[in-house]
This record gives sequence, structure tokens and C-alpha cells, in this order.
Amino acid sequence: MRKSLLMVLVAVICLALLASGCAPEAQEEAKPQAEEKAAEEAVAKYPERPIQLVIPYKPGGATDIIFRLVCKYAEKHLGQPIVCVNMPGATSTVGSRHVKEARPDGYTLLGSHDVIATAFYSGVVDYAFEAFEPICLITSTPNIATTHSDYPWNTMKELLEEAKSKPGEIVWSTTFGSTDHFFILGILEAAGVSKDVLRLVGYEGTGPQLTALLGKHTHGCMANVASAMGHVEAGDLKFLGVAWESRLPQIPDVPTLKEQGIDFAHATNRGVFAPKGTPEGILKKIEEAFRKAMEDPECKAKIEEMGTLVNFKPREEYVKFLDELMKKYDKLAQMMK
Amino acid sequence: MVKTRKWDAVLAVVMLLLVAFMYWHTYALPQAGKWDRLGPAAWPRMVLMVLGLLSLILLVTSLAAGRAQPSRQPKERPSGEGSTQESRSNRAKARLAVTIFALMFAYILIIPKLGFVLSSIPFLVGCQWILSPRQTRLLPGMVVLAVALTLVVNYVFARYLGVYLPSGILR
Amino acid sequence: MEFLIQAAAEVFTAKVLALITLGALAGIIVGAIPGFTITMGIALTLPFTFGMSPIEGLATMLGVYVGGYSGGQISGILLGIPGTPSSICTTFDGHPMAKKGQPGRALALGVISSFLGGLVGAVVLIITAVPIARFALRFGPWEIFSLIVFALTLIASLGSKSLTKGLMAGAFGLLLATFGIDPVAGQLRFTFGLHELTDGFEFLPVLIGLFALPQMIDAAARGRTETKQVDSSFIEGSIQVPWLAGLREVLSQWVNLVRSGLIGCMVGALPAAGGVTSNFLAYDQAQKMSKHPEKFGTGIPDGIIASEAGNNGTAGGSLIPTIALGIPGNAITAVMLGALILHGITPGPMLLRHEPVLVYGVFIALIVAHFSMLLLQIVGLRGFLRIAKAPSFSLVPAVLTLCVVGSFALNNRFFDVWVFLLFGLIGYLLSRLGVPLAPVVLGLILGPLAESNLRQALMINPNPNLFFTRPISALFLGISLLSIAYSAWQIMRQRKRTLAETG
Repeated sequence: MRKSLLMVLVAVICLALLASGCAPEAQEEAKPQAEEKAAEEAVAKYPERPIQLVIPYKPGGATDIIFRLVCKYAEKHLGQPIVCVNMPGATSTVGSRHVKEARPDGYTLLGSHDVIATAFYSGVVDYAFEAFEPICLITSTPNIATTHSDYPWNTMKELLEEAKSKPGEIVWSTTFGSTDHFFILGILEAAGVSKDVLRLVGYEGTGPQLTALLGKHTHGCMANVASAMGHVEAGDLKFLGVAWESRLPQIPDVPTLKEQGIDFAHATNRGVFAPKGTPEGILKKIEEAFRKAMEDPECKAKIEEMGTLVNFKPREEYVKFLDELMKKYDKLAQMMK
Repeated sequence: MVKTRKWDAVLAVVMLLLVAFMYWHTYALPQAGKWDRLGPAAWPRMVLMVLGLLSLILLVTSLAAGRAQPSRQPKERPSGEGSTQESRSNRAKARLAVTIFALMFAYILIIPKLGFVLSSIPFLVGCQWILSPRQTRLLPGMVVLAVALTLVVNYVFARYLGVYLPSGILR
Repeated sequence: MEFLIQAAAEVFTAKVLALITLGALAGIIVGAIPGFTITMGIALTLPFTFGMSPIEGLATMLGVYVGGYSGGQISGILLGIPGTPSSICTTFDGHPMAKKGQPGRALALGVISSFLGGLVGAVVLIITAVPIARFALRFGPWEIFSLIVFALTLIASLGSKSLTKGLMAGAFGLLLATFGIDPVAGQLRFTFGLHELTDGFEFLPVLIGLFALPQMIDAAARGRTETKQVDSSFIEGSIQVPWLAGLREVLSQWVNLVRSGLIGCMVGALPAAGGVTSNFLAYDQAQKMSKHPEKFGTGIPDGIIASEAGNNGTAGGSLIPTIALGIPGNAITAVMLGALILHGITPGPMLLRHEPVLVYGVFIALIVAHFSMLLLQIVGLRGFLRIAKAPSFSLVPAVLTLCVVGSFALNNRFFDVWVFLLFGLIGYLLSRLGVPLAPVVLGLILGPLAESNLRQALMINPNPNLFFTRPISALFLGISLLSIAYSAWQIMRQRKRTLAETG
């Protein structure tokens, strides 16, 4: 009885090794000409099956909601469902790496934002936007410096004035290595203050930061309309300044940082990416679908309700936009050292 | 159960080696930041110290107990009767464990190559056969279960969860 | 009152009731399959809710939520593999009871406790949501760290014969949690050049590896050595579920039930804690308050009741900060908040004032979801029992395949499947050496929380004395000392007793 058991085992393992040895060779033998033709056909037929869009964050966050919503509208124009899959973790690089290494056939896409640059500059991964084919920018979410209503400051300028006179007394929460870490450094630089005047404390994500601020364990953090509006309406929190070119329609009374003499405007810019080497024809089809989705008034209204601006940029413009963005982050990254 | 003390010492030594290796590795971690006085290395070190201390305690107590009872007296055993039978069944269980781990290893190894469907069906049939009393009249049932489970899981994941299990050479 | 009636009118429509029940069914199924999580189920329902009204969407998700918490016990009791991490403690007594030939009784106790414990949580939510949520905000990093320290002391009493080995297992879990990106400064630790380790070990493959493989090997061995017959089924005993007897048994332990439900609810309301912590805390308290603590872990009803009432109480509890403050208590309530935002409703402290009908609707839907769950379980449990009656030579390979699929599906990564197998091996070896596995999981879950709160506290204020001078923090540290002292006393007493018996 033991013998037969052993035999089966040996057979299985041999099969496994055989399979692992043979399979790749068999694939490589395919003829190049036939392949080219097949590729052209694949572009023409695309999409033949559901498309997977990877969201590198947990469900429920702003990135998750925005992409799930937009995909619902975009898939109507593609004729195949877009299935959103959450792959959170490691400053969003679990998801981005999955897409980076996926087949460049247009069936695996990434929905992400500036974090691709910050994960690179904070040393989590060794690749940034250049590892992908950017398809289009869809939205920009301006960030807002926020504090608790019980604290005396009414603008970011006032807060920074006090920080300058008492370095290290004011506690500012941030997620190290993520976008808001770069944002606060950028604000400090634009205001011309040393980066050490604020006591930076690390929290994972915006939610825990708001909780800590509500409990008055910290003095401030970067938030946005969707995450903090409820607390501002209730009188628990107040906005100190919008990091954007103009005031936001939902909060017309809150001055921009520029109005306060801090020349810093930056948003979280969400866009769609494909693995490097995805055929141009397929990218064009996806771009078209998202463009139509972003023109849909219903979709637009839903996004604006969340305090996010619709900011569609097609592939060519987006590539240039990302180049500029990388330069900005490069400058900020120098400050972190 | 006879060799419990000996194996305790082995466990303690393995853990101590792990602790030593990891502790050495903590020196490669970045230094503490300006406000973050503990830094990335402090917590792992605290945990490693606790684990190391506990392993030492286990090592010392197991060695001490081993010296106290140098000859393997049946005192260590929960009960005297049926011990030979017990050790035989223990050995059979260990063999079974090795079999299952080997099968799992082979199965996981071939999924990326052959794809989920082509590797799961033989795994399910083979594993069932090995665990079963090996009567041919059971075989059809096993095959039906293997094929049905594999196909249903494959379909449900692709259709409803957007998870495409590796398709391997079936693509 | 008029809001309540209005809300009731919105919930008690055929459509909403059907949605809740469908959600609960989906929840029970994802909860029952090892390797599938409730969060997965909720994220899947999110796109469907785009086209629904806010109350319809939330009601569906509540169904999934409640169903999922009660589904985790099914595989926990029948297979010894917790279907969700929050039902780990259910396996301690549930699986032994099932092995003793009373699987129906164990399931009946679990389902009824889930139902009643969940109702306790719902009642607390409805009555005291706002003050509790306000109070929970006072928990800064100092308080949370001390609470975690308290939870870690539970390891000492987690039913292991050797205290040293139990503590070692806990420390091993804490160590595993330090792999990957560090939770405060975002630095990489112990990745050894493997980019798959950037985020450390994924929790779920570790959990199912540790529990499923040793359990499955045990089951396979039992199937082969005990009976050489063909129909050696996985679980012996009748597939009848004694609902009435179960109800009587649960009600006779109403103190345990209410206490566990309350613990679950309170822990759920705290930031960062969740179903796993509450599950362990409730079980531990039940054991410490019991007249026969030594029987815990052998298959007694007390343990099942505490664990299941505890984790379903968390469902109501985690909605407290969600509804009252707009702060999600866990990943699941985060998705619910996301759905609200999508419908243009701003979650936050003003929700109750702006959308009273919706809030009351959520309360009613939560209660209705518990009834749907109970109904579905009464109808469907025998089906699950019948599956568990399948011969173990078929069930074991099937479960192993599902574990592989579940590990893979989590992140679409093959690496996680290897993690599953590696921890299966570690779990098997550790359990053979008499090292308990539950502390590993507890350490793995609490480790990052302990570290980040400790470091945050010292970053905000470098003075370590604050841990002892802030009253709530000091209180938890005090209870921790008591908890350790109690465990030490219990171990001494037991040792004396065994000495007296053998000598």
C-alpha cells in the first residue's frame, strides 16, 4: 500500500516538473508573422471579454468610489463590463505592480493617482509613471488643510505663524510616503518655513487622521471635501485653506492658500493606466470610453457632489501632464532628505 | 509523546536562530526620524527580545527536565496502555502529512503552467484516491466531484468576481 | 417617532426585504467558505447599489455584513477552520463539540448566539450611538496602545498547556506582523529583496494556512485510521439541528450572552479594533467569569455563545462611529460610507439631523437583517451539515482547493498561495510541538496596531509617562496586570490540582 502511494507521489511530482519545463518552450515556438496578424485582430475585436480595473486601495475610499462609479459609465461604451478589483497595500504598489506585470492586452488596467510618483520617491518601488501607458486623466481632487474648530487658527497662514514661533509644538498628521506627506512639505516650502516647525506624525490613511483630529490628539491634516465636509458642517472641524487655483464651489467661504500668500496648488489627480506595451489602438478605445463617461452629465454631477473636479485629459495631454507632475515631485522629494 | 522534551529544545533553538538572524537584520533598517524617536527598528527589536527570552526559558526548562529524567520513563506519557498502537498511528499520520504537503506542493507548482482547471482535476482525483480506501467503485464519484468543483469555481470567479484563475496552456 | 414610522415604511417593502435576505445569503456563503472574506462580499455588492436608493443599498450591505459574521462559524464548527478571522474563538469549543457528535447542537448555539448578540449590539447602537461615539474619540494612541496591551495579555489564558509556548506563539505572531512596510514611517522592513513582501504577509493566507492544513491533515488521518469503511464521514452525528433546545441553552446563559454582546459592541465602536479583538475578549471574559474555566476548549456551550455573541455584537458596534460621526469602524463600514457619499449624502455628525429617516432605516434594516440571517440559517444549515457529512477523503481535497483559490483571489497573486502553504507547514509543525496557533493570529493582528499607536503616542509627545497618567490608558494597563495575575493564579491552582490528583 505504501508503495502505491509513493508511486503516485513520484508520478505527480514528475508531471509537475515536466510541465514546468515544457510549457514556456511550447509558447515561444509560435510563428512571428501569425502573431502579428493575431495582434491586429485582437485590437480590432477588443474588448472580447470583461476588463479588469485594479484599484490599489481598500474598498470605500475616494479612489475606490470614483473609479467604480466612472467604470459603470465607461463600460456602456465598451460593450464589455469593467470589473473593479481592490488590491490594497504597500503605498498602493501591490496593485500597481500587478498591473505593471500583467499582459499588455488591455484587459488589465490600473486606476490610480499621484501616489505612483510618491511611492517611487519614498523608495517603496523603483518605477513610476514611465512603467505604464497612461490612458487619460479623469478627475482632480483639491486638498484642503484642516483643523479642529476648538483651535485658534482660522487660516493656514495663522497656523504656520504660530508654528514658526514654537517649532515642534503643533502636531500635523500625515501618511509618510504618500501624497499628503508631499503636500504638507510643499506647503511649508511655499510658505518659506523650515520643514521642522511642524511635528509630523504618521497615520495610515485619511480616515485615521480625521479620527485623531476629531479627538484633538493632533492639530491638523490634509483632507478633502468628501472626507471632511460632514465634520465641518457639524462644527467640529474647520478648513484652513484650499490648495487650489480657485475657491471650490462647495465651500466658497474658504480662501485658497494662494490668497494667504502660500503659492501652492495641488490636487490628487486620478487617471487610468495600462501595462507598458499595450497596443495604441486598444488604448484609444479605452480613452474614448472614459471620455464619453466623463461627459455624461449624471456621472459628472455625482463626482462633483463628492467635491472632486472633473478634469479629463486625453492620452497625449496626460503624458505631458505627468512629466510636469514628476518634476514637481522630484523637487519636493529633495526636501524630504 | 516520548520525545516531547527533546523537540521542545529543538523548537527553542530554531526560534533562537530566527531571532538572531532577524535581530542582525534590524541593523540594516533606516535610522529613527526627527520626531519618530523609536524609528522602524525599535519595535521589531522589542518583539525579538521577548521571543528570544521566551525561547531561552523553553530551552533551559526542557534541558533541565531532560536531565532530571535521563531514561525515558513512561511517566511522560499520558497513559501507559495502547502506547505502541498510538505511536504507530502517529507515524501513519506523519506519513499522511508528508503526502498531503507533497501533493499540495506539486499542485501549486503546476497551476501557473497547466492552468487552474488542468491541474485541479488531477489533484482532486489523486488526493481523494490516496485518502480513500481505494476502491474502484468510488472512482467515478471522485472524478465527477473533481470536474464539477473545478469548473464551477473557475466559472464563478471569472464571471462574478472578476478573478481569472490561471488559464495556463488552455488559453 | 414619525421618522421611525416613515423609515419602517421604507424598509418593510417587498424589494428591500428581498434585498436584505439576498445580501444575508451572500454573506453566509462568503463567510462559510474558508478564504473568502466579508469585505470581499461587500465590495462586490457596491456596484449593484449604484442603481438603488440609499436605503436599499445600505440594507443590502447590512444583510451581507450580518450574514457574513454568522457564516464564519459554519466552517469553524464543522471543519475547525474559521471561515472569517472573527470566528476563531468559535472553533475552540464549536469544533470539539461537533467532533463529539453534536454538530447540530454547536451550530444551533452559534446561530442563536449570533442572532441574540447581534440584537444586543443593535439595541445599544440605537439607544446610545451618539454619546458612545463621542466618548470613543477620546481614545488617542495612548489609550489604544494600552487596550492592545490588555488584549495581548489574553494570550496567557488562551488555553495552552504550556504558558511559555503560548507566549512564544504570541511573540511569533507579533514578529510576523513586522514584515513589510512599517505602519508609521512607511519604511520597508524584512523584505529580503522580495517585492511581494512589500506589504508583509497577507493576513488571510496565513490564517487559513495555520488553521486549515493542520485541521485537514487531522481529518484525513481520522478518516483513514479509525474506520476502514467507505462512508467514514467527516463529521459524525445527526444532521438534525436542535433549535429549541439550543435557544433554551443560550437563554440559560443570558449573562454570558449579554456581556459578550456588549463587549463586541464596545470594541466595535472603538477606532481600529474589530471583530477579531472582540471575539477574543468576549471568549476570555466568559472563561474568566466562569465557574469551570478549565472546561473551556473542550466543547462546552459557554465558549460558543461568548464568541458568536461577541462578533455579531461588533456589527452594531462598528456602526456607532459610522452613523454618529461618519468614521468607518472597519473596512466594511467604510464601503457603506462610500455608498452614502456616492448618493450625495455627507456622512458625519449631521447625518442624524439631515437624514433621520435614512438613519432609522439603517437601524431597522440591521434588526431585519438579523431575522433574515436566522431564517436562512434555519432553512439552510442542514445543507451545510450534509456537506460536512461527506466522506472526509472527498471533503479534505475540496477544502484544500478552495483555500488555494481563496489565497490567490485575494490579491490575484500566486505568492500568497505559497504563503498559504508555508504557513500550513509552520502551523502543522507548531501544533505537533504543542504550540497553540490562536496566539499567533492574535499577535499578527494586534502587532501593527500596537506598534503604530506606541510610536504615534511618542511622536505626538515624547513623554512616556502619559501612558500611566492618562486615566483611560492607566485603567487598561491596570486591568492588564490583573489579567496576568489572574492567569498566573489559575495556572498555579491547576498545577496544584493535577499534582494532588496524580500524587
